[in-house]
Amino acid sequence: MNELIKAILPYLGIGLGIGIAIVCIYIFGQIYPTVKIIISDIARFFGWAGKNVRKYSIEQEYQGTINSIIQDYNKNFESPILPNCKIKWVTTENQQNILKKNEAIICLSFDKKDHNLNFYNATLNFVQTALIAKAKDYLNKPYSKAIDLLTTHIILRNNRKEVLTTFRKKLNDFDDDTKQEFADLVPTNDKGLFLNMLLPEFHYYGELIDSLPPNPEFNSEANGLFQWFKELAMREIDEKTNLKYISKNIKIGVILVGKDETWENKGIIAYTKWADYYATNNFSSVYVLARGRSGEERANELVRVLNQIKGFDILNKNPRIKCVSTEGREYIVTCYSLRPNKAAIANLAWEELKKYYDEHNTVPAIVDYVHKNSIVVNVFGLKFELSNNELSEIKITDAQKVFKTEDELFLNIIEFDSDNEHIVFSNKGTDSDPKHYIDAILDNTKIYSCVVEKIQTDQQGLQKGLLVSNDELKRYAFIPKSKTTYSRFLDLNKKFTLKQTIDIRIDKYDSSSSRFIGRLNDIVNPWESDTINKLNSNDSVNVLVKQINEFFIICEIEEGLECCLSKNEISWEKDECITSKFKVDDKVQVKIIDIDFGRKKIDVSIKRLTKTPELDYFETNYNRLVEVEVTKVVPEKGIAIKYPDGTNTGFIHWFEIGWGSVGKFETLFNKGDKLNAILYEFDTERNSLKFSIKRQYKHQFKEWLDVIDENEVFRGKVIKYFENSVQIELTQKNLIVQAFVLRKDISNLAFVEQSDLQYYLPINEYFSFYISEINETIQTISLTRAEYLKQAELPKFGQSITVKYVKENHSKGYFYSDEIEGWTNLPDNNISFGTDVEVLLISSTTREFTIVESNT
Amino acid sequence: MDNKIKVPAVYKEDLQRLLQSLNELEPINNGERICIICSKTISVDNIQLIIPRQNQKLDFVCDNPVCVEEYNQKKGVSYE
Repeated sequence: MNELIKAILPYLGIGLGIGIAIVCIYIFGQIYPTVKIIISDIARFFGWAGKNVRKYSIEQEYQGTINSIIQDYNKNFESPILPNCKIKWVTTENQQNILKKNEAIICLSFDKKDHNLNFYNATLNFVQTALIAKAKDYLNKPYSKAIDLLTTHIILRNNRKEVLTTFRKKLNDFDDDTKQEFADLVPTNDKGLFLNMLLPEFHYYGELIDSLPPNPEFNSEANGLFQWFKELAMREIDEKTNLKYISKNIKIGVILVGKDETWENKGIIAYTKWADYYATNNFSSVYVLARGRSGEERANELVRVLNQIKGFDILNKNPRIKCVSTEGREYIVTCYSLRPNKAAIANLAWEELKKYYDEHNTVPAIVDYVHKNSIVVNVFGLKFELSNNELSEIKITDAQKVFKTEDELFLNIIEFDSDNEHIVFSNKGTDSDPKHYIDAILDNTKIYSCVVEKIQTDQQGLQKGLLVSNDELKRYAFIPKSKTTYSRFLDLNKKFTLKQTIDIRIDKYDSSSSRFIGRLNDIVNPWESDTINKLNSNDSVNVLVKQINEFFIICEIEEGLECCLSKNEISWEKDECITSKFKVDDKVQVKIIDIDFGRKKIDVSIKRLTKTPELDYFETNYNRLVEVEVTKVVPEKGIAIKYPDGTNTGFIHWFEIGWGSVGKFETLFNKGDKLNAILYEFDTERNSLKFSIKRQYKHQFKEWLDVIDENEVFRGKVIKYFENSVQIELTQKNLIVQAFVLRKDISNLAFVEQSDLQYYLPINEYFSFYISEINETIQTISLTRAEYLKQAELPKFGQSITVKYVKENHSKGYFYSDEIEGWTNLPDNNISFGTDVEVLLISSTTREFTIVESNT
Repeated sequence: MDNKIKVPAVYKEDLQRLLQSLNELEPINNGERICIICSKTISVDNIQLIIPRQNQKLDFVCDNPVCVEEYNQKKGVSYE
């Protein structure tokens, strides 16, 4: 017996070894699907041995290819996300038991000719019907097809690259939308997010809605999630994207651990507060994403804190994903999937708050909700309310205009009692006090690109201005109407449309309305615009009627550039000068009469678009000296005159006769007299011309006044005589003015009649004067000779001087010169007035002289 | 969730016999069966999916992946 056993034992050992080896391979095949692929390849090699070997080969290949990647994938999660597959062969013998109504049977082929296409179709069929099938039903077709194609591609790429050729060829057969979505989705897998974020989320979502009654909103939720995922996955570095997806049944939040400066300057708090926010707001999933090795280290540290200190559960086991950039560079993406554990979060939050209170640190918070009089903040996953009084060192009347949801705050703890869970926060004076940001905004001269949100009106419906928004300004800023346009009449609806983008500058902050007040950046003062600089008198322009009253019409040449059309400028016919015949916004052609930059006033006329003969004459001869003929002297008013080629009469007002007191001018002019006068004005109302005599003489009054000393002696030339005065022309420093001396101020000794003037002050001769009075309003200069002569020095006794004999009365004769005047007894012989005589002083007190010799 | 989905499949070398037993081989060989998605004539070579219907009737889907995809968009598989 022992010998027999000894003889058999070696053979038993070999058989047992072979059996154990076969069992081991089988077990390995069951545990490790990758081994199935190896078995499949071995069986393929022995395919010539029979149909069963070939069939076994294709079965192992299919199951191994799909299950190997699914098993690897599921290992990353606590519970499996994707199911494995097992082939159930249908044959003639078992078909009665296996065939089920509407359950498709897939064909698989060992033959090279059909193998790849059948294998690809079978893989696609499995992916499509078995993977995240519950949620995919609600996706738009191109989206779900793209997910299937990408998943199929991932499976084939990992284990059956030779089938990818068929995949590529057949991809062209799909519709354009599907191909586009597939192309969009591929990079999300390259970044590691397709498998680690989208598929799990659709799996969780499918499981959730599977227990709910069907609802059309599942479609929008699923499609919304898909689109949000694409945007998030495709975001560029620093690009602003929505890091949350919120719908009725899905709440996913993302924390990007990206910028070095955020981590270095604000530390881990900058990220944990967002986790707190997501936890408080019942987000079902929170993803922590990072890129690169430093990002991985930070993400690991953040997740450690969230897991150990903040009470978050980690759902995935292998957050490290190796990716390859489009340039072929390898990099690491870290993707943690977390789920908030609410009970743990609350306990840990109070512990954390106590630590912050003890260390006198500010607490990071996120604004959760904003009321008018308070805000609700999220601190370490707990919610607290702060009244307006605690929000800033400046007065906040409406918190909704200063804060918005998701603002980040750093709060001081004012009161703390952990036993009673009592805490009071304050934002006053902290880094997040809006005072700082308001000061910062006001300090810079930045231009803000804002969206027009509303055209604000008062209770009467009158437009007050624009409400505009810009994320940087947090809430609406107000642009008063006057800062949007210089026009008093502009309807803001015609210039601005809602959601239009405009550039503004901030001028101030109004604490009563809790708003920034700004102005349009490119608002141009119409009085400094190109239009006004190009405008000239007599230009013809089109204007829009904007305001009408009984006496005038206000029009706009362009926005804010107003002009005034006086009633009498409407027509040459007085009866047609009616303002009420116009309507607001009528387009009217006018002629510019005058542009007054000082008063910012432009006068326009309609009637002057057509010229009367008078207007034509005016435009041709304006400011010219013309010879006119007196047709009538109108006492106390002026002189009507006839001008060359004129059918109408012109007029010279009395105040245009001389630069001073002219007295009774009626005595100076007679009908038929010819005189020279300047044409200076057109009387539009009367369609008549106005002339001036005095304007033919240069009168540089203002300039002259600036350079003279009023107390000095002025030399002046006698120009002409009026009824009670004499026109004198003064010249100082090349500046010429016209002055006058009254007859009573010519002599101290005699009453000078008008007829005496020719002897006392002959035309074109020069005399010395003192200034008696200057009237700056009417620009007149009154001179005196009498005062000058009073101060003149008398000759010595016995010294004869030559003077003009100028006047006599019944007892005395008078003489006069530039330097002296006096009287003598009536001479025995007749001396003509104006004759030179030599005289000797007799009495210096009475100014009596005696004639020594005359030239008569 | 059952972690394994059974996929009914027919091995190509068994296909003719299976069709014969289901009385579909002759109509297919006669070109009387079409793809329910693209209406292409079904042959033994281009069958990808066989879908049993009521009263022992069968539908067929050809081996164009677009047809497989399109068919599944309209009908999923049962889970065990």
